[in-house]
Amino acid sequence: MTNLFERIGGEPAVDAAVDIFYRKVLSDNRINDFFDGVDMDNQIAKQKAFLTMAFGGPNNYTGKDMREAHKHLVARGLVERHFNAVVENLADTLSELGVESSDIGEVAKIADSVREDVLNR
Amino acid sequence: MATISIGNNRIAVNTGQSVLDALLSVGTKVPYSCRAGVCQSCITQAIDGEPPDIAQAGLKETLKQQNFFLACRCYPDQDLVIENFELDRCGARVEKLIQRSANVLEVHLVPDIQLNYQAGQFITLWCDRPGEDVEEGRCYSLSSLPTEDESLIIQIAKVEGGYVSTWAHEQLSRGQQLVITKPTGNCFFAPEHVRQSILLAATGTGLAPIYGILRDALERKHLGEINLLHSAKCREELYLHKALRNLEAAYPQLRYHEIVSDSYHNDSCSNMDIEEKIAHEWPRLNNWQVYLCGNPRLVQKMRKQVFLAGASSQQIFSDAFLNRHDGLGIK
Repeated sequence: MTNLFERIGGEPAVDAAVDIFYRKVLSDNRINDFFDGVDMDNQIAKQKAFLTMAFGGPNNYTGKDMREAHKHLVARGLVERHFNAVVENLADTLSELGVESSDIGEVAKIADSVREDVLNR
Repeated sequence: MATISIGNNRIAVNTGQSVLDALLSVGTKVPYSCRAGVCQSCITQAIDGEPPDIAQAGLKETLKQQNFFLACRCYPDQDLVIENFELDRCGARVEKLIQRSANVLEVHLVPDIQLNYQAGQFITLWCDRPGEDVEEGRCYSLSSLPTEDESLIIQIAKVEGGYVSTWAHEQLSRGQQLVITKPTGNCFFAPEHVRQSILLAATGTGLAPIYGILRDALERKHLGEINLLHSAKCREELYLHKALRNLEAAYPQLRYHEIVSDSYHNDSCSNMDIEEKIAHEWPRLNNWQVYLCGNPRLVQKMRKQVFLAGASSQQIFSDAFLNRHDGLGIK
């Protein structure tokens, strides 16, 4: 029985997904204001870390990291609907890459597990 | 068991131990975060020895070529000498000075030692502040080609209130001995294949690295189309106009696009800004390679734009002429 990360395709899948995902996020008027003026290289490295985590891959990210990293965005008005938009973009990216819908559901569930930390609640 | 050398220290790496853990175990200050090869905080460079492939997974091709690797993913099977991040300097003599335009001085420097570099990388030029115990450094990108030019060639724009650029424009003379930091940087020619389409965009003296990258591509007989855009405030500041038109005549794959941002001078030039021109002419950039150099605000804008137009993030190379490359050293 392979785990979720292996089923999706491991690190190469993260590499394939990160550009598609970040392009969607930057083009999404509901959330792209939060990404104005940020350095693209740094942001892509962070998106890679997020996708690795959401795909069930190896990561060392803690709730505290998530809280710290999003604190300034919450202060700028980051709320539930923005978080949902990101998860939606993530699911769209995976379905574009041909990932099984049951696996997409599992990824969405992992992404959802950081909701409270990201929103600093 | 492999040994890592960093500066004067030798550190043993046990089997199954990563270079990051070995460095941390002896108190070396290494930046790190995820320990999983993802965040790239712990990136470092092997000066001697080959890092294992797994330690380079996910890095840009230009970084792999220079033996950069991620310490957290490196379980070395051979000894490595790694960069100790200290500034590496050498002397250089001013060989030639050419006033390219009212605003741009081209400086040819002959270094005291043989330096390996790639066209498009940058050096730091140091100058003393007389009467004070500090020196000022500014980074300048190389337009020279190591295989063709004996000198390191930089182009210095006069910046109002800029200490180093004013010093260079007013006080440099032929034969003068200077101090530089060796070439570094990852904005240089590294195509995926010989027929890849290439977009080169420069504002102001961002043309220096772009011109170096262009010459490198032509020397390596790149076959894909190459579009070079240069934008400047006025026609006179399109300071390599003639050289680029000559190259364009000699190489059918090359197109040179002039952009003058001041609309009073736009006669035969494009009357669009550089980012508008790119959006208009190249709305789809899938599989292209893109190089962007110059004004940080424009470089950032163009990066986002070409990425959204489909260029892969791994295929966009940029050098924003920021103050972060600047240094202030205490002697």
